[in-house]
Amino acid sequence: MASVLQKLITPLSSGPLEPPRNKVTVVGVGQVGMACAVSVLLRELADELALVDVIEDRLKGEMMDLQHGSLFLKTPKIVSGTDYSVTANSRIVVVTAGVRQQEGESRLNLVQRNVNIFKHIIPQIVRYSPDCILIVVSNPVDVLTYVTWKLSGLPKHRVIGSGTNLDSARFRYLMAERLGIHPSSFNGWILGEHGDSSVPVWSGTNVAGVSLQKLNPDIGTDTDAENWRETHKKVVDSAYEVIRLKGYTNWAIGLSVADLTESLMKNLNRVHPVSTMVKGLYGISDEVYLSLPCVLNSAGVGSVVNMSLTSDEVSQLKKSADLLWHIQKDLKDL
Amino acid sequence: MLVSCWYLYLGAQRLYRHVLSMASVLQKLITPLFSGTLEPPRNKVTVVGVGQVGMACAVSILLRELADELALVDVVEDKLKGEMMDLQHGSLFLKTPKIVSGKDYSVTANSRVVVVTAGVRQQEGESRLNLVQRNVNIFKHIIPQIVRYSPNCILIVVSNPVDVLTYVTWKLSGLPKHRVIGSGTNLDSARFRYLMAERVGIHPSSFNGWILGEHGDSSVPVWSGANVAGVNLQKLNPDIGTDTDKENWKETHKKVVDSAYEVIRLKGYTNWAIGLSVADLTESLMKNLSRVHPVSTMVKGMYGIGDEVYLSLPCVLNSAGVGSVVNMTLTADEISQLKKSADMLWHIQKDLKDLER
Repeated sequence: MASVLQKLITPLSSGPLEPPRNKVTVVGVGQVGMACAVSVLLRELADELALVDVIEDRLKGEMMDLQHGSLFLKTPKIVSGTDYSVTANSRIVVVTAGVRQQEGESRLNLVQRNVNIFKHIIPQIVRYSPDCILIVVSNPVDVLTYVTWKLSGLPKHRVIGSGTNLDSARFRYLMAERLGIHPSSFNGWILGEHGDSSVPVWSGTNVAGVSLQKLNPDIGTDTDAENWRETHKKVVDSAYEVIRLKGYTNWAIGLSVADLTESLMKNLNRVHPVSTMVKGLYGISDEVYLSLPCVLNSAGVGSVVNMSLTSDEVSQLKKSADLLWHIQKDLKDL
Repeated sequence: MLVSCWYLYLGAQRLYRHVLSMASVLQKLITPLFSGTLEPPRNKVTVVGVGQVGMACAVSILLRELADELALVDVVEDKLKGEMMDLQHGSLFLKTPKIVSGKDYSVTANSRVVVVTAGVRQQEGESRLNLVQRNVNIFKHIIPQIVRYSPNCILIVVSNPVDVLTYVTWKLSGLPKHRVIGSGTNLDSARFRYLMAERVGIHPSSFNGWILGEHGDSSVPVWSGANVAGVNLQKLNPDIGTDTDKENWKETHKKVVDSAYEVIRLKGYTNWAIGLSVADLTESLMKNLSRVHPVSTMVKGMYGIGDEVYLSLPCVLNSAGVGSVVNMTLTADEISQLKKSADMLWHIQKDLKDLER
């Protein structure tokens, strides 16, 4: 009375199941979380994917929908649960959970609400994956990356904020469009605080090593006849614009997170603008997270590239640092 | 004399510097070489409808790097523009250099493959016939415009009920039948292979199994064909798929039928799996692969079916569309199930109004 399985398959190695070697967890299965998950799956970066959220039905539905696509994927195990045990042994954990700003809500209140959520999430992640690297995506990302670092007890090189990675991607896309080339062929960095006061490093912009600032010394200033500064403004506005049009953004941030994940998983030592702990750099004396060009490898942030910034750019960074510290110092129970 | 020459020289130098500084960064940076007209796209894909399914198809196609141009069309302008912008902002990470959108179908011109995900979902208590007639009215607006701007395209219909709407699309488009495909049981088969493979402990791609016929509750699992590495499961267990089967393999097919409802109940809709499956079809069409997929095609004249209906059969897909159909060896029971589906579909279709162009 042997079953089909017994007749069909003869087991060879019957030891305990191998633990996953390239497991990725995504916390939060909203639009951003699922865009990250799908990008990671389609880039074939993980041998196991875990999804966590608090809404059980939605979580199970998303997991099933991804599993049903398994024929077309190379990630053989996709799991989910409200219990963090499903996340055990992750190499990378992407945190997209948290609340969005209600109308009229102060940043501080938003941050405190998210701190309370993260107080539940972060220790559980670290408990089940003590060697993981955390990528924080939830906004305001620089503050929440600091919060995550504090709550996790992990060394600073293993806690990264998605930071200005997306701003830089948008910048490179918009600049490249003006020049008629592919974004990957336009080199340009946006650093500092993710959001309205991000810093475009005009001195570094170049195509094939040709510095744009040498071609146009006014680039990025108010006196620039070609108004290149407008392009950075469009980067800052684009998030608001997309949210106004479709209610949220998800595809671009998902793709950018998969890009970071690839560098970490494959130990590539590629340089990305991500949010890292900058105390001691550029005269900043507070423990704040800001985006700088970071070398990412399987240990996390291997090192930081020392940008040659103008004194104006350095003062913008310092101002952001002060603003962020002003918000952080009042947070309770970290 | 010398003085005037000197001033002339100074003036010329200032003019030269002025002219040099007037050149834009673009002009200084880039020297055009070939300035002919822009090349038309060679591998353009259009997705009609930017709901959850449409966007899942779009993202899957982008991440599989199948298109050199992607066009999105919908009627809700804000959402359409927002989705286009969100994809464009990811351009750094993609190899599809042109992403466009618009309410006007001119943006879809010169597409090789057009994926149709537009249409309405069943309201509670709504009859299938009413749903179909409402979608016919929507398709009457969409399909002729698609064909007008991409007369050589291949249409993949995803909207439900897919078999009926693929028939409707074929009629409205005036295209030859091999260029109108319904996503059909492609997804059902993918789910079947996943669930069966899980029971056997292997990857879905290593489990061969086909679900054919009508997409939905009365799909036909071809148990006689189920195999791993050529080893026929029905030979190992002759009761497989029947009610007397102790191992209850039939339950797995039932789970396939139920899984769509289950996912909809849990998260409100399904999109990721259908998006991935559409990208898989698109790959075969774009790359002229002649791979065999279970998709909805015009089956009149096969298996004794006398009406013009669309049902899923194993189709060889290449750059012309459905190159050919594989003749399955079906049991008498399986054939009668197909015939029954065909009759039911024709019963719905014969009452549809205004399908001729």
